[in-house]
Amino acid sequence: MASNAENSPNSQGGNTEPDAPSSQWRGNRGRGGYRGGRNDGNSGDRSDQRNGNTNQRRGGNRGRGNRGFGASTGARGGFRGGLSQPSPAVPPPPLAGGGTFGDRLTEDAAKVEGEEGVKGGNDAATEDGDAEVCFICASPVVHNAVAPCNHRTCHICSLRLRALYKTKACAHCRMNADYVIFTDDPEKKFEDFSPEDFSSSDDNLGIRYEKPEISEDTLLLLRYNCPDSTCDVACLGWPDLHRHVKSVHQKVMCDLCTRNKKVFTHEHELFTQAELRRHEKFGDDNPGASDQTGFKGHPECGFCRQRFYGDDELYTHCRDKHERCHICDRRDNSRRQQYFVDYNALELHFRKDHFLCPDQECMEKKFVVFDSEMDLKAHQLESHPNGLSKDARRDARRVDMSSFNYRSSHESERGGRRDGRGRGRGRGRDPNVEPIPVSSAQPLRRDELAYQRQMAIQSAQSVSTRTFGGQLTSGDAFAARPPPRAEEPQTVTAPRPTAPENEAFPNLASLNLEPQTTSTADLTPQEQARRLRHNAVTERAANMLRNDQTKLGEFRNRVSSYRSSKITASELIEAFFSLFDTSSQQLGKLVKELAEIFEIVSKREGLLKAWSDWKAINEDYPSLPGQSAASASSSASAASGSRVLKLKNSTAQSSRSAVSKQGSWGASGNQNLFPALRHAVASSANRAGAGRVGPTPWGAATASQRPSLTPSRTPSQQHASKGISRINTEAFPALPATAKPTTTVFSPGYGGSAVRRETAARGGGNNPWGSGVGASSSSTAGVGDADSETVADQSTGQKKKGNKNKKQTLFHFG
Amino acid sequence: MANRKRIVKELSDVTRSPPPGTRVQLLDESDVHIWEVLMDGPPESVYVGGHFKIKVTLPTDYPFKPPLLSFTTKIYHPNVSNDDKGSMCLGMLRSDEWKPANRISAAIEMARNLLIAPNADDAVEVSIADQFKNDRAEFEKIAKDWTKRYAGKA
Repeated sequence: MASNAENSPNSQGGNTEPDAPSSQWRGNRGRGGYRGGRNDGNSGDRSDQRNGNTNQRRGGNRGRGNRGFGASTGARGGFRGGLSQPSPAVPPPPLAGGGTFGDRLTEDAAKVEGEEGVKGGNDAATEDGDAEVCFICASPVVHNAVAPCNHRTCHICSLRLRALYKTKACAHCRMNADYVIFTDDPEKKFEDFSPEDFSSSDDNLGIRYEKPEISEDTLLLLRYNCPDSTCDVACLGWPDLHRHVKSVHQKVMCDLCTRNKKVFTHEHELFTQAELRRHEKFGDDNPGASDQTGFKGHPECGFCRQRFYGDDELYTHCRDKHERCHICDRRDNSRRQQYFVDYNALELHFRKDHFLCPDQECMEKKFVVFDSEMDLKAHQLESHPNGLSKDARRDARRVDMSSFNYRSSHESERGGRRDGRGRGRGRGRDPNVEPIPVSSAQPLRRDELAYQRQMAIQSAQSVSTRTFGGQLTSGDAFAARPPPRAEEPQTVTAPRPTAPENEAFPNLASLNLEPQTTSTADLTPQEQARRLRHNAVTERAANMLRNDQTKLGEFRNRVSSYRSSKITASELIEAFFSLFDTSSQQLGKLVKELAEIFEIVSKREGLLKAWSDWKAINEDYPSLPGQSAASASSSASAASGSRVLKLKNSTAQSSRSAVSKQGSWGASGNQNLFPALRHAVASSANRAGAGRVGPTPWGAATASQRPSLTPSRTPSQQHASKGISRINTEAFPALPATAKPTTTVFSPGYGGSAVRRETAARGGGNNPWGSGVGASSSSTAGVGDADSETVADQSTGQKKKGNKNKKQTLFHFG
Repeated sequence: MANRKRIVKELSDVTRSPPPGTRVQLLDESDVHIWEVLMDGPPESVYVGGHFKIKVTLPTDYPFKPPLLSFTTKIYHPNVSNDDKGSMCLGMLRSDEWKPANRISAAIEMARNLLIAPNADDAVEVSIADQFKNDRAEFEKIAKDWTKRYAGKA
């Protein structure tokens, strides 16, 4: 802005000899005159003004009503004078000092739209909106900007587009213009201007000025003017301006806004520190205020704690700096984007929720991860055949048919769950995840289908009688066999987080099916699945007994005695221990699988309870399930623990709102739940304690939850929850739900809602359980059920199936 | 910023003479940046009989940036995203095609015209667009069904 520098001395000069010179040139300039004339609709008037009727014009008619008329005499007038003088070609003595300029400028700019009308009204009622209003900003036109297409805007809108939005497109027709003409002539066509009509031009901005005054007015807008409405300082640059507002006004400007917001300098806002924080977090939205902007705050990256100007900027940042899971994205692209802080976090997610190729080379390559175990095996067979033993290779070629049987279309809404067992094993693994409609409804890719078919054929050929139904084979050697094997061949499955989590799934699969069996007419697939599961249990038992038929018979006897209530669950457990000569870990799996095939809820629960009781008594310090895997994941989740805390804090807002919608949820109850969860995540080592935790703590959880279900019971239960709330914290670590690194998941958004737990996002609106889960944690809700059969039954009746799954999940952690 | 004046002006204009079959109001009287448009399904479209709510969100730098239109009423339409956002983004609403001179009423009219004639070549919901192109009868059946189901009451 060279011209500014030039001008400032002039202004000073103007100041020294206030009004006289200015009025003179003003007449020549005819700028105010136009305005006035137009407003009056009286051309005669206009010409009159041009002739030098300056005082009146200045006060009353000038388009720039905003330039404080009362004050205009001093600095203002001087300013004017300064500006005008160049045109008379009488350069005033160069004096330093830009203050005056600033003054005029600020006022000018700051009030361009807002006050013009007001002031104009004050003065002569000439500025009424209808007279001539810029189509774009709806403010009175001060100078016209004419584009080659002969579309007009006010010079401010035109300058805004060209200087701030960096576009040369016409605001009306988007036609690009190399230059536009700033003129005071309201009608003259673009092509009627000849080069000699221009007093100056700015090739950088592409503007030709008809008059120097217009140029002045324009360039003034571009200076670093202090936004304070009473301050007339124009600074040399941003740093200077920041210093100025800080030292003079004790205010700050929003750094993000000054860098990104497309407004003129003086249009920025000044904040106190507190106001700035508010501005960043919530925006300036001030309902009802006349100056409200609709701005809702600068969104923050939940990982970096860094704010960005807007969603676009945040998106760019996340895209460049953080990772997304392409598999999840592919599954459901309508969901909110979820990011992982870096590849390590993403890899953890891959291990946990998908099928990561554990091969060293692939790990280095990164992103070698698959949607399903099937795909992973295909990849392994293809790419690393040498890494697998012969047996493993054969196993890998086998297909767990059970998984396919389960997929029947009418069940698709809960597919995510059931898939935990089979093909999409990666899909339903997360107990936090409510059924994801799209995921399993998504058709198999063509190549996947083909591959499956091929696999099925191969396995039919290569294995004999045991071929069909993966479960028929003995579990441990069977690579494709679903979850619970701790001793899954290393080559096939990447280290899995923890056994409890895995073990949860077979149960889910079964539980899904059983109610269905009774409730729907379509029995076939379920029936099949049930048989398969029975077989699987038998198979496992047989395997553990080394196919000793007598012992197997004994096993069957015991089970049927339990079924017919001849013996209690704990007796059954005891019997198992005498019968099986294996580790309690092994036995636990059997018990759990066995439990899940009981259709009678009480039997199932009784057995599981007995099992967890036994463990509570006999295994004070159970080893972590699935050693290496567990340690890996637990350390990871511990690492992310601190992040959770932060994320939680920032989520507080949004979850609270979810809760309040809920109505029946006591806020305090939720607060109680949160610390427990955090604790859980942070110290996931405790997870092993899961086994120890008897039914009582679960009960506590129930109590705190139940009010939402059955308000009448509230008092006693609340009491219960108070008593055991301490235990709650211990109980929670057991739940895989809490350990899930939802912590590292965040989606961009404004302020508080930027980060939220995955679950929260999914909490259903009308299902109290669903949303309850969202607000606190799925684990809690589920646990709540476990404690008593009545509740469980009740919920069976009234809840959606997805939730039931959750409940069931929890039985099996012990 | 210049926008408030412009928005208020547009709002008063559109309230005075709204596009046919629509009614415009502020979702919240105190916030001129969020409008609620009540649009009747055009009689010549499959959405006839439906009453659709459209939320118009004006960005901070409106009119230099386009408004955002989203159907808060669920609608089966190739150009409206079939999620909780129900966003519609095409033609003049795209930021690279937006002209500051465009008015919100024009955007509303465009939305209405899209109800009459969906633009399957510029769809957000590809599957619906395919159906629209290849199996019009089924498309119309679902669209009518959804209209009845979700946009029934005013």
